[in-house]
Amino acid sequence: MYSLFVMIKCRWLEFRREPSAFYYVILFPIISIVGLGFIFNSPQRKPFSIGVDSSSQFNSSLYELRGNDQFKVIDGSQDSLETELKRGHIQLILRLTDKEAHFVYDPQNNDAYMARLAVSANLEKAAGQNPKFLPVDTQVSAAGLRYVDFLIPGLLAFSIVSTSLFGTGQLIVANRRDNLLKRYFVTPMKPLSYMVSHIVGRLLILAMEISVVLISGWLIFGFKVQGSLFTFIFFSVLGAAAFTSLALVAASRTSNSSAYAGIVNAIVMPMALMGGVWFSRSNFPEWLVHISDYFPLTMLVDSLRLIALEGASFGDAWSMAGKLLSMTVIFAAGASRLFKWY
Amino acid sequence: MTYLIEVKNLSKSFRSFEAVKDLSLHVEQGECLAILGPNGAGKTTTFEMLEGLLKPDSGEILLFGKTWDKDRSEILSRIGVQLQETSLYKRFTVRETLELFGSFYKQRKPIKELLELVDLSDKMDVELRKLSGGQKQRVYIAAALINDPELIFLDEPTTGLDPLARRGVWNIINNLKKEGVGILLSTHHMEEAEYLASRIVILDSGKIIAQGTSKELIEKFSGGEKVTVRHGTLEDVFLNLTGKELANV
Repeated sequence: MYSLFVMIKCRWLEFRREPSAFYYVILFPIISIVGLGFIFNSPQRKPFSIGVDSSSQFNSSLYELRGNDQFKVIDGSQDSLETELKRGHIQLILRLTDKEAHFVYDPQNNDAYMARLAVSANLEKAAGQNPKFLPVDTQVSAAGLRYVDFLIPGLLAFSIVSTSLFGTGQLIVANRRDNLLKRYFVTPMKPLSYMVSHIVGRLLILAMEISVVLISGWLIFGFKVQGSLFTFIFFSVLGAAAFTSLALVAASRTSNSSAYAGIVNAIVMPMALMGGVWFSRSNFPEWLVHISDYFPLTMLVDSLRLIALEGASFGDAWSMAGKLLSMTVIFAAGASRLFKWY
Repeated sequence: MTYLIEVKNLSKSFRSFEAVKDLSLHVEQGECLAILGPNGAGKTTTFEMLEGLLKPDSGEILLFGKTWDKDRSEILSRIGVQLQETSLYKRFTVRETLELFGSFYKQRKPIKELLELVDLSDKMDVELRKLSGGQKQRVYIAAALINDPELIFLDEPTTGLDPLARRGVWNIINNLKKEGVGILLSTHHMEEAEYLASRIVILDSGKIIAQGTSKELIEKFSGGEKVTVRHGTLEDVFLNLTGKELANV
């Protein structure tokens, strides 16, 4: 027991004295929250950038368009505007004839499609065609419904993944490369204590990660977990246990840090890109959504969002807890079979 | 009499390569047995089998009269090991490193006493990355002595050290001998074996090609160079037996 205590203390010291750990656990989440939060949480919507073909016929509707702060109008020849469109500087090109409005845009681009609808409605209004229904907007900026509220649980999940795989795993690989695991093996140290020290040490780091993300989110954006904080922390712990076990599997054999980085990138990158960390998975094709349902990161992100944004209780998210726990057990069992000390 | 180490007919192969062939040796209490040999002679394989890191293909290993299979934890609590090319965590202080290794054992030597033995008392709270090569090596030896072992394995403990640092390690080993600790030492340095070892075993291609005290080996194998100018040395013995220049070892 004393040995386990000293080893856990060592895990903490290893973390505290490693400058890159400070960056990954403290600085990276804060920079991400502040950066992405401010970029996507701007109180005013940017105007649509519209290119107007200079060969367009004179039309009073164009005056209306230019006078509307919903639009930023750029005049130019068709060739020059096409170049601007390719560069993403404008969302569509408009050319007016005496009876038609021609739009050139990419229908797969949501912003371009919205710009096309907005321009069209504006032209109709300018031509005196009143809509059947008068639109009444309710603008939402309440806590829990903003992009930053969506982002914070995702960032915490991503932080858990990266510190588990890049922190714990890299340390084990370095210990093997430096013959330290071999050195431990010729002492009466219990191998289980070594594994447990990594998992408990990881939970100590997790406590810091959760504090940093939640406190900075609360201080800067007024972020609050809508559900139970205890349930939120419980799922974070489950996630950390699952990913620390996965790190033990990934680091079970190799003593080559570059090879390990390759293995981890192959695991993390698809999960990070398709797991809905930064953006909703509903933007993806359906088949990709189905595949990403099975990623451990998706399970963690979805369960944290469910609790933080929708106030879900443990009962609502128990199936996710079961899946994360099963993964922890499977990965830990795999690690104990595969793990090589030297 | 129970030897600290007793090895009989030990063999180990890696696929078709025979690393160790029919090796037998023993180490008594308070004795330093040095194993000399060129690269690839089988020194590290022999050490790793004796330390319980490798399983031999055949032969018998007894440490304190006990076997690795039946008495692993007892053997581990009575030996100390300094591996070749180990790197401890460089941001731990000397004290933290020794506390960590001490925590693995029920019986442990006080850290202060240990640091006096390896002459590092003033470095107790210094991080390992701030120590010189010789000082680090002394920390590794201190870590191997934390459980007050009866037998210690030192695998090339002075490789890469300057003459002064090497002398420091020699002093530690001599003090251990005086305390009755058995030592199995692997080295490339002839003068080190000559100075420290009670007996010497010369390995080549996995086989013992000569063994005895340095005096016996010099008398027997130095090639009759006992001329007026220069007596034969252990280095002459090594060259005559293995046919390899020291620079290539």
